[in-house]
Amino acid sequence: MALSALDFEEIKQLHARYCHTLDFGDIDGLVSCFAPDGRFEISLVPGHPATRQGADLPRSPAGVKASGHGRHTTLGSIIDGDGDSARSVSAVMMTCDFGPPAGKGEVTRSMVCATGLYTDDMVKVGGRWVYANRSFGGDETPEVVDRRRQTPLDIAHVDAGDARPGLSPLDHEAIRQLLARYGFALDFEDYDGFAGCFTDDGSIDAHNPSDAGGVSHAQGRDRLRHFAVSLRQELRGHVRQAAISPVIEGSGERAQVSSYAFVTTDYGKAAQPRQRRKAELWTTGIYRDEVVKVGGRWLFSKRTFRQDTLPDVGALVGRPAGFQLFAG
Amino acid sequence: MALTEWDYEEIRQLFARYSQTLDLGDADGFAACFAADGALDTSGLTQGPGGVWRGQEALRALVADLRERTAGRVRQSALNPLIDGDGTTASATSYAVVTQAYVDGARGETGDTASSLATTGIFFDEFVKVDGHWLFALRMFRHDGLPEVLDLVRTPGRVGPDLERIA
Repeated sequence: MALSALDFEEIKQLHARYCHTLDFGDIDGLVSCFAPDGRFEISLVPGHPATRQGADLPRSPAGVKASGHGRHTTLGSIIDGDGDSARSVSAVMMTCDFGPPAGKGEVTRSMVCATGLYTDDMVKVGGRWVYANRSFGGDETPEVVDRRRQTPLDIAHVDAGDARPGLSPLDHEAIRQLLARYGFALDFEDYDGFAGCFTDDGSIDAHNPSDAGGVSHAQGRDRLRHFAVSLRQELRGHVRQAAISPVIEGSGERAQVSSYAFVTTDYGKAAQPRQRRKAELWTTGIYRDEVVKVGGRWLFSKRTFRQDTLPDVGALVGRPAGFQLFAG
Repeated sequence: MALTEWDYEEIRQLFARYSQTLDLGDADGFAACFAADGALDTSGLTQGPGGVWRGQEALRALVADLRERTAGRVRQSALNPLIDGDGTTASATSYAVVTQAYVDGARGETGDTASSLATTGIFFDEFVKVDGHWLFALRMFRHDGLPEVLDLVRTPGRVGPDLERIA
């Protein structure tokens, strides 16, 4: 039996509960996110994963005494499974704050410390989704980068079923996962998976001054594949792209999406500019997308992107929020 | 009655609409995210317009004020939402992530970034269902690092604003 929209939502609530209980030191709450014999595995030191299981979970690296200053934030997840078991891959960002303002006129500040990937196996126990196995790897570790590079994502597109008059919650979730899948496929050089996020004649139009050349346009799967191959050679495997806060509107087989691009980098091991932080925010921008449902699968027919510093984004300010694509 | 998949999705869409209308200066769209007497409590802000903004007119004025200050370069999102409720009321606690794009070709400390993380914090929300649609009854923002957020450490399982404390 396929996962229902409510299953997907409950799994996302599980991911959120994990982050909240971890960051605020609610150890019982954290342990309750796992099955009784659940396992947690973490790779922070390359080649030396640490594992905790069952009754040992509170002693896991994730169960360390929380200071209240650290945050684990899920930026995107793709999920598949059946009615009783599920798997997911999630991109996560770690931030920390510096406490109350130091004095009058000072403001509170936070910084990005690191990014990484959670890979999960979940089971439904007593009607509730819990982790059977949760594994974390920092984006700068070979466990994440080398293992995933140029490897097809092993999590299937959401099958949202036949078209209906309006969008269903499952359609919304399928579209949200398409946004996440685009990021994973591009970041880990799964070029066919990337091209497979688009319709046969789908197109991308992206303006990002941080990229060499600054303007990229590609239409059709072969050219989209080439677009992905040609992006920022020097940062392969070390950029993470998420699309957050998506507003979605549409009918049964066609929808418009407006979302925020949130792009981080860990620079790669050799180039880390600051040892205190393992990653930082790279750029932000706006995606405006047209998506269509083909055989139960939501795909991009047109994806447009503009970095937040560009005039195209400035021109949106003060108008009713909408879905108009950026003009090429 | 437990929240349905539509309830969760509408609340997620409300978060996204709040972000995009506020950040891009759509005052009417932003006010429409709130119930008629809904309020935004930003009294924990350490920078910018701190206070309580109640009612449609006040909420519209806030957007105009922010638009002057930020010129549309700030992006705020509610992530990791923990959502709880029944068919008529709901609450959520989310992580706020706020970024700011650099202006005039400036770059970050490493010389290569186009935006920076401005701040993080917590959104505490109360929702109400009006004519079948979820709206904010109260949204509170508090910066991470402030005492009221640190107080949440080892306070298990609270979702939504602590209304007794606020009163």
